[in-house]
Amino acid sequence: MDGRSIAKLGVLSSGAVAVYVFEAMLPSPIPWAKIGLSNTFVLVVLFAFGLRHALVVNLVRVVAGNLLLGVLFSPAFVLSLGGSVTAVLVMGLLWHLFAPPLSAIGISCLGAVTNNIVQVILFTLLLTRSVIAGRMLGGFILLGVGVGVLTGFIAARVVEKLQLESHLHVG
Amino acid sequence: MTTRHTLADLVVIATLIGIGLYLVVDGGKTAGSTVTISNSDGTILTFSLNEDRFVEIEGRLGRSVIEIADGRVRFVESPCPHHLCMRRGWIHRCGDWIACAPNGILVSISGKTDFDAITP
Repeated sequence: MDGRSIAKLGVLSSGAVAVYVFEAMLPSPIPWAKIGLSNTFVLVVLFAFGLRHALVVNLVRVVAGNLLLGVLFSPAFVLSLGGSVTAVLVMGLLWHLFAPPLSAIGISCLGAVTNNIVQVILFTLLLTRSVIAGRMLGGFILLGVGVGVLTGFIAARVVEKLQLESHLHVG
Repeated sequence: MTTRHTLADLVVIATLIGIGLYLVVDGGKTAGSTVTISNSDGTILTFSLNEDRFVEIEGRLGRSVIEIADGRVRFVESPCPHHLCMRRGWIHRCGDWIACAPNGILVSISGKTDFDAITP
């Protein structure tokens, strides 16, 4: 890996952490719940640098973000890490297998929804003794679709405008 | 890389919105198995949803008639003034209930809930 790529990944990682911490300060009706805009940076890395780098940047984002917020290894951290790692893996797989029919927006959508579903399941299994509330799950799926479209669009635009070369898909 | 969406994207988005709305509206509830009918005197009657029958129970105003048929329950007759309980119609899912406040009758459905909610 050359110096330019390392610099780009560094900038994208720090941007992800900054937005992650900023988002946590925004008022939210549900404790811990964030909109998920910092995922945009992970998407940019996934589209431009591939799955392996996206996993690393995502790990930096969640660990450094939660460290700065003072909630490292808290339940919020576990939910965030579990949801985002699963989502990045799913998106990497989809990007590899279904990239021609699906575009960045569809993949981002499925990733956001995966993230939310995993978080609801983890929340229910780890923090409650009840069954998974279908209504809550439905709400988070709808939320994920909205955020997924937004972050997917922004990430695709950033990759396009900055002309970050694609290492995963040539052409 | 372009920001243009494809047809497959729209199909995915529409499907996800459909699943989300279904879960929000339906709550992912499963069919119940037992009906519990109680009145304000503390009488509690329990019936299986699988056996069709009419149940008569005395309330504050008089006698309410409740029908159990085809795994569903409804109020058939009630002495209350507005008959909101009768207009509620049939209920069949676990956690569903009908209350007749004037007559003090509560009909609720219970049963085993499991993880069906995540595999609708």
